[in-house]
Amino acid sequence: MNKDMKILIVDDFSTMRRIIKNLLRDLGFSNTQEADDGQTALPMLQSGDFDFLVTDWNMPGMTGIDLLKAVRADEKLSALPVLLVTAEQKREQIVEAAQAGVNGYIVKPFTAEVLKEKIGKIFERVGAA
Amino acid sequence: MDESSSLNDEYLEKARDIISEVESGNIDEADKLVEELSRSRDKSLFQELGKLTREFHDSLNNFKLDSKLTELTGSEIPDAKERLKHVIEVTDKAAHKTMNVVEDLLPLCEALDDQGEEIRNLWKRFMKRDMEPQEFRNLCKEIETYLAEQHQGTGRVRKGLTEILMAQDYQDITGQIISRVINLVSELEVSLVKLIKDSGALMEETHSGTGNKKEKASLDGPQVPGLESNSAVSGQDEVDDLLSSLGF
Repeated sequence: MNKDMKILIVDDFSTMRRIIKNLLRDLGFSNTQEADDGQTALPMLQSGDFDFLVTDWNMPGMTGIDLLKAVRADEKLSALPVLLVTAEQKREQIVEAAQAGVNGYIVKPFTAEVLKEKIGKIFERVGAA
Repeated sequence: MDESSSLNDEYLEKARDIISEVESGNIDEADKLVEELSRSRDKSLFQELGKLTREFHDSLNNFKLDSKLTELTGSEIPDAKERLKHVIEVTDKAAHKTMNVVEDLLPLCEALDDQGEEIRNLWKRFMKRDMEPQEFRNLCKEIETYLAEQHQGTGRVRKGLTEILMAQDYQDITGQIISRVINLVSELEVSLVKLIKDSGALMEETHSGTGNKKEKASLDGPQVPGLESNSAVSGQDEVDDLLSSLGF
């Protein structure tokens, strides 16, 4: 897990993007960019060599789950580690995300520790893969 | 009822005529009669429809005249939307304001802590008598500087904490606004129930079988205490358990 890895933070609420950005910075990850919707995020991912995607689910244009599916369907992006950070916690949603290939699922409200732990887990598995 | 009984007689007569024409082999005649029969059925259908439409139209007009509903749809609901938008703006502002202060003060605290650590290490050495006099003089100067910066720093922190405290004032305003919208929703609920009840008589022939066509699980948003869904988990631990039980 490289502290310089390029991370894209996607959420339609600027406050949440800011919180996640700050938490990531505290964990040593300062190379972050932001998008306010799945729709704006996808082209950024396609042209940007990002190493990690953190996204919300509920967004007006393209939802996080659709963004995830688009990423997995794109040849260049299919292996991109994706972490969903969302208020959605219905079982069907969690299962759908897992089946769509999400690497981690965090429910809001969350703590800095949880974020750190999940990121660690994701890259542990990615490293082992 | 007179209308419909004469209709029934007409049907009966026509039906008998059709049978006799068919039995006599006059298929063309029979066809013509069947056509006439269906035309008169259509006529009665149109008459019923006309009656229903008129009644519905009258009811609708009554509703339009219902001032509560007019008020709600005309001004209060648009107002409520504006109010809720305002709540979003206000809470957004408060959040960013708070985070500004935090982002400002965190580096300050880190810097003070780092400086303090340096001095702590030097002081340890001094206490172990592991220090040259010149080093000690430098240490004194550093301590003096540090104390001044710490004083200034804590001043900034106190100011910042007060700013953060004050930034919470949004809650009172948003609380009031949201309470008003809750009242509005209640009023709306009452009016809609009345509307449904009043139109119930007309709408007896409602579509069957539309049933509960709830589309694929719609998004719930954050779980609210008291409104927890049965199909939602509660908390990160349960999310993790669910995922690992599925092998993820």
